[in-house]
Amino acid sequence: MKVLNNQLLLGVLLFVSVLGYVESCTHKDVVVPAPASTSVPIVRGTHIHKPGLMTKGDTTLWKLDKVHSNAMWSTNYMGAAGLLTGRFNMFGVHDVTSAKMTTYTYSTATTSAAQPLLDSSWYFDESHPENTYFNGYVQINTSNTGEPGRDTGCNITTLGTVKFINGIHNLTEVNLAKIKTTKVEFDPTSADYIVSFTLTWKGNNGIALVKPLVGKLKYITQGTVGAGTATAYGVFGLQFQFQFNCRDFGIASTSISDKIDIQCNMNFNNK
Amino acid sequence: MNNLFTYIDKLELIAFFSAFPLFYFFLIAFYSKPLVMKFKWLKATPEIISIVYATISLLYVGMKLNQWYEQILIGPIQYDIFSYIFILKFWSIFGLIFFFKSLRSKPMLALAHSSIYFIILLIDFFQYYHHQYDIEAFHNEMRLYFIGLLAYLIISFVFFFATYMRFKFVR
Repeated sequence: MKVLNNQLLLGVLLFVSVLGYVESCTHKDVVVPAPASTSVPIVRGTHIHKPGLMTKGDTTLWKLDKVHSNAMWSTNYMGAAGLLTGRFNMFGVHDVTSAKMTTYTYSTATTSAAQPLLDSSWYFDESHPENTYFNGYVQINTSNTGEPGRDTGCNITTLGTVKFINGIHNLTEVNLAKIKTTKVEFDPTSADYIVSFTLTWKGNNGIALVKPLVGKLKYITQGTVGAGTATAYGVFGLQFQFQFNCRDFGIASTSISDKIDIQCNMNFNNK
Repeated sequence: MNNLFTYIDKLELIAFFSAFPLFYFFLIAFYSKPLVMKFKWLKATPEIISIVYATISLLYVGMKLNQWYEQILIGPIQYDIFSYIFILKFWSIFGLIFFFKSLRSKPMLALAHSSIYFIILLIDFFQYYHHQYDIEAFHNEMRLYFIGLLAYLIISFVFFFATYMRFKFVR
């Protein structure tokens, strides 16, 4: 009987002990979920912008706001010192084919010159970069560094172009540098886009060189100006940056570095 | 447990003493006259149980003395003599009395001495069951409880082996 009592007590103690051990299980052997990604979260929208025929008043069509846009260049002065910068006064977003590479006149009576060609050679699809493309051009002789002596003097010969004539858009081969996208894809490290394109420019070479390059495109998301008013309209921006070696285009001047940085800030609206 | 060191002290007491009742009943349940008749050296089982308990108490006291010595080198030690952990630590010292021959043959007294530590574990188990005790803390206690049981079994094996060898060669 005493043995039975002892064995009973042993059974009870054993049961309580095992129960306690089982209950204290923290389930730490449960497979943990996969760790969250350490990459930067990139959020992209679904905006689509197209120019169509840029019909005034059609809010579904987007127009280049040339007055509030710019195409700028910068390079190291003497290849080593601070930046030498300038902008191109005349530029556009059009695929200037050979047939269109000529001169165009514009009225000098207006404060800003009318564009020679419709700025409609572009399309932007925020979530499908394979649909995005753009073509652009600058008139080389409209380079503006703020120093007329340079802009109408040494720059003209250095860059292999001709002097600017007021009232004339010179889109001839000697004065035209143009870009044409070949591929646009997502930048995996940011919300921007990687753009493969060609830069076509004669420079000081005998014939125009078509140079493949890669640049970065940033989309400044669509916003509304004057929201809530009768005159509200949409705006968005595209910022395109790239660099190229000017020596490829026969630019021999040692006053500037080999590397030229280009930044194009294009603003669009749907007025 | 509003103090980490108090919690650690409690874990130490549970590790050293709370598994003794299970160990006691594990041996006593199978300790019977027919078995002793067959294996005469098993007659010393009640004494071995007491000696194992006293050995565990000795190990605990030794550990505490070592900790106390290290602490006293740093600075004066403050004790809350009215806290239950301090009382339990003081109570554990009495486990050494089971080395004495007169008490060695009374393992029931050792069981009574250790029961307080097992009751603490039971209280924590019921508190955990009523969601008043953290699972991690209870898991620690149960793990130490079974490690303590393992220690009891290992030390008892050593004493049983010594008894067997003594019986075989000295008899």
